[in-house]
Amino acid sequence: MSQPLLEVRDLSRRFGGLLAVDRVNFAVQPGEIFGLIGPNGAGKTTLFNVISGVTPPTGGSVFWRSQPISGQAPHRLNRLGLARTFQNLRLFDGLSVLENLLVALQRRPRSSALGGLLNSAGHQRAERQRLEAAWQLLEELGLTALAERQAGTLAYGDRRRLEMARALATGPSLLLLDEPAAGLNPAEKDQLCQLIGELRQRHQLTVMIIEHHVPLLMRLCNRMAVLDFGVRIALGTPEEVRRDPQVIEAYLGTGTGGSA
Amino acid sequence: MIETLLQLLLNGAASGGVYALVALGYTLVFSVLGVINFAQGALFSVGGYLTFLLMGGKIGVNGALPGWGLPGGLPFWLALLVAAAGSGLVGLLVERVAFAPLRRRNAEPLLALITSLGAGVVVVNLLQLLMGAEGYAFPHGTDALGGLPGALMIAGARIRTIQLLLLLTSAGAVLALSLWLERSKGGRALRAVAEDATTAQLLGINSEAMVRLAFFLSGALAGLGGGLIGVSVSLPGPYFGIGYGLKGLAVLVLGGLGSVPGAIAGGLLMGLAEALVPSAASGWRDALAFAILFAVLLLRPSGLLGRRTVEKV
Repeated sequence: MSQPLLEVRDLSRRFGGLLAVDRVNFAVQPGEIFGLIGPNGAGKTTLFNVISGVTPPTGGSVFWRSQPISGQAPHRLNRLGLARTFQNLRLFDGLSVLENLLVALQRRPRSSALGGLLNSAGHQRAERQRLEAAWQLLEELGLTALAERQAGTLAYGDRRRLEMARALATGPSLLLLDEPAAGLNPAEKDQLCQLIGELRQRHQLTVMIIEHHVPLLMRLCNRMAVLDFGVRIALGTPEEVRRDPQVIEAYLGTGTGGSA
Repeated sequence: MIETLLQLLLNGAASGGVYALVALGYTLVFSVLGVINFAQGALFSVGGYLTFLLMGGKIGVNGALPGWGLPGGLPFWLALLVAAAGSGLVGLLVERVAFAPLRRRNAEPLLALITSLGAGVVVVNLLQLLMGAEGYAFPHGTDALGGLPGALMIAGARIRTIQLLLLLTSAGAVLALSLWLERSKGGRALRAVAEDATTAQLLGINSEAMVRLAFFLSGALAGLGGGLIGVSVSLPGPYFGIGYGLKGLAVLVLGGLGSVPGAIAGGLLMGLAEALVPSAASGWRDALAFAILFAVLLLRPSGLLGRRTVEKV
């Protein structure tokens, strides 16, 4: 097996008396789609928060290409190649759709503040490249017509895709998606599934995805981990996880696989 | 008659421009942190005194080093710019002392009201220690304006040059800042941090650095205002900035918290209204200013151009 892109070892996060994440272990291999499921309150989003640097862990560590990264500021982790979306969308509502992407493209390519003040040729070229990259992402996610709209005025499904485009704009190798299908209708869920597959191909992504909609995950993921009360109770291919008695007990309910 | 009116309007617009500078300073910090930096008035004083010293002014008899001054003096424009940068650095220091420790400990943001007020009091008292409580007039009067005449004739009206410079400089600063915020990469990042600092950080923006930038710019704006007012009027004492700080706060609320165009409109309205108070009744100026604020807030609680708060159900 190749070197994992991301690995968590004995990762824990305690909030007062609550152990939201309890000594969790897993590794995500480059190029795979790795699912994270579990009942509400199982610690999935907390785990994302710890991995992305929003919340420091209270125990254990996170490794990025075998280097320890826990405790680093979110902007440093992003620059390493880690980007995420939120379950309850966090767009810059007062900025235009295009500006939302340009903010995320800030560092690609790099240009100095001084160049900006002097409006140097290099700076102008960099700004042009950012604009091109932004328009291309808008096109990939079907948002071109909305470019000048204020992000706060978009319809729900468009907001979801904009958040994904914005995360992609930072040029990640690992994309963390927190319930990207929440609030979408079945047809939109199908489209999303296809979109994630396409984006992974085109941007050479590794994807970690939290999702409640189990059929979607089963279709999409190479492997998945199941959390329950902060503890990782299963890890494996969708097939293995589906048959795991502990999972059936904790999450899928007895015998009714998929309707959770 | 026309002459006095023109003169009055120019005076009003000039002080309005300075109010707008102070209010924009508040706006920058407010939009990234959601709190008011009450040391803003003190930074205004710092700008005035720094400009004075940089132009070759000497410390008075009650100061810590009576008779001391910088060797030589900078021309007015250069002194003003360096003093603004200096006030920006003091603004950074205020951030480090009064804001950063609270943020690191996740303290209630409102506590920064007290810590910044305290930092402002310390800054003003240090100024008093260094410079004494006496007033200062600028060393070379208006001769220092790079050879410009002290007064100009415009449309038959005699206009003090410094008033015109005051207006042009604050208008220039306000315009440059608005363009920077709206168009540049850095301005975009600052607006993103203002909307949601954590998300900006997850997109690779160093939010802490942007907060420091906001404090630097905010201090520089206050310092620029202080230098301009110092040259145009005088430095009546280390506390003189506090009054402008309060006026700027009123302008901020009048224009709408966090709104850049609001700060500009509020500043101009306030300055013009004050200028229309006849000088015989000049004691009523502040009363009028705050009466306007009161009236506007009764009609529009979110200020002239503030975002209306939508009630969430």
